[in-house]
Amino acid sequence: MHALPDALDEAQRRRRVRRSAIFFALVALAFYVGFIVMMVQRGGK
Amino acid sequence: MAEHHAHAAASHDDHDHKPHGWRRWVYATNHKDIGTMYLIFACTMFFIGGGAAMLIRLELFQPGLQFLDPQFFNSLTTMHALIMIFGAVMPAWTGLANWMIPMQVGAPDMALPRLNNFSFWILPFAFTLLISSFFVPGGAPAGGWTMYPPLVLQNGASFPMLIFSVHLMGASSILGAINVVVTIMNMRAPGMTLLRMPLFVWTWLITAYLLIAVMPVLAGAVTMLLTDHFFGTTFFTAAGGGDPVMFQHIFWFFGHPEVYILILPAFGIVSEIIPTFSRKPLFGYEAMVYAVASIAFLSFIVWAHHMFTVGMPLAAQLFFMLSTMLIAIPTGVKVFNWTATMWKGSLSFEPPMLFALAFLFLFTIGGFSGLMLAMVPADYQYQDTYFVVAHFHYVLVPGAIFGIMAGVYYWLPKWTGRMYDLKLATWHFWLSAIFVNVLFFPQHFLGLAGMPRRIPDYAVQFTDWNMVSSIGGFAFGLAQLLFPYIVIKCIRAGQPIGNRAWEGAHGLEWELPSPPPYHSWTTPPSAAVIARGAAH
Repeated sequence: MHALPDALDEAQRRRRVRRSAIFFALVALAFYVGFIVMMVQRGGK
Repeated sequence: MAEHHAHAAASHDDHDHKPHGWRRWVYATNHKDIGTMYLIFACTMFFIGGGAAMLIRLELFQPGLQFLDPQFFNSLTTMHALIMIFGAVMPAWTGLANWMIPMQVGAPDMALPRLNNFSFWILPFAFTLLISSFFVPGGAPAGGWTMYPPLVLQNGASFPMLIFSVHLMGASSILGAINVVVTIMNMRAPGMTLLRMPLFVWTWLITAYLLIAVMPVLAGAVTMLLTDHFFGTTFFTAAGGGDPVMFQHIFWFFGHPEVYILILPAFGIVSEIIPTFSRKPLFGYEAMVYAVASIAFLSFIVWAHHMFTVGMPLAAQLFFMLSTMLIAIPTGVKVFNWTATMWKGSLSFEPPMLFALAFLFLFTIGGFSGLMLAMVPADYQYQDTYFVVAHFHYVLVPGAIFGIMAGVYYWLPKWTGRMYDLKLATWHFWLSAIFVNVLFFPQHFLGLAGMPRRIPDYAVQFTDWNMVSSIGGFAFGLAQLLFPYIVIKCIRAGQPIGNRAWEGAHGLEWELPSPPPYHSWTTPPSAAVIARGAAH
């Protein structure tokens, strides 16, 4: 992987890539857990 | 200038640490290698799922039970859908994304190459597990790909195999989607602004957001099925206070966006091919982007149109009917813009353009029957008939599959550096285009006459159109054998071509040599090259 001569240096880019990947993984996890929790709450009523 | 950059990229052979033998594929982190593996996998699954379809059409050739046991027939319909959706179409799009996105945004590779490897290698295990369920007691899942409880809970030993394989496919899709979003947001070359990106990249970005939002919902739903079956919960079991209809709501909250996951990248490909072979810029680039985003947004608020007959409040029926009809507006914008792109263009009809034009006509037929199904009173008549089967096959075969074929025929010369047999590919197109209609158009008549779907036998008055449909099916299936032959022949003995395989092609991928270097853009493209490539 080679840095593109942009305002972003390689280290910055790696941090951004890692941060955004973790962010989207957490979004996906939230949808997964969220729907199950929603159903558990609905069953409790 | 283009040549300069092409040579600059090609001269970076010191970065070309290409492993050889099986290691190249098992440990692959290169986007082109992984893209190739996805495409080969999708093609294999296409023929396995197609084989199931041939058996289905064989049984339906005549009324009565000829060849298949009814339970096995139900397994075939279920597995055909699962294999085609999750094994053929989705991996084919991911393969095309892997090949094209880094080249089109000016990046050397995908942002997360090892994750990319993991996303791919999950799939062979998932589908081995799923397909091997044919051989366990009770046979493969037979309750339909929608996995509705309580029917799905009555599956035998195949049930946990189905649930685990769906989880694996979902994980693969989510990881692939994260990779696409992160690549597009972080790896674009300087100057490649969002509104300069090719439409294929745009449609994939939106598709990836849809995947991240809805695949976990499917995973949640099937996890709850699993706990209902094995751990005594009653999420969807009425006897324990659960609600089987709630599963349908959750499933279709995933399922309708899934339809757009299967079709949006085809919109992107058609938006690249029509301008190329019209020798004109795409009409209304920004409107196309906003139309795709609108379709994606609307796909989240229409899910219950799949289940009007479960007994919903009138207000809900009206809401879902009208929101569904709203989708026709952005879709109409797209069809208008594709047509306007061709208006007064200098058209030529090479295989990618033929497939794109067939997409335009035949996908629109699928869209129209979708509007008919959106109308609540009419849907009460069409529900669970062959009309629904005809509708979604028009969307998915001359829609998604033709989109994939168009994309492969468009970019194959770039990938291989060779031109394929245009005459044979044109034959492939005409046989496909004629017989896809012989196969699916009669199913509209069968559905309107009341023939139910998912049955191995039918009343004798449906015989004639079923025979026509089966003949179309066998011919369409046979015609598809041309496709791998054309691709293999091209790789082995195609005529070498230059960087720009098609005279009217624009985009960064055409600035690279054919075939492109192992790492696509080791030196980012210059502003001038980007501007030329982005001449929408």
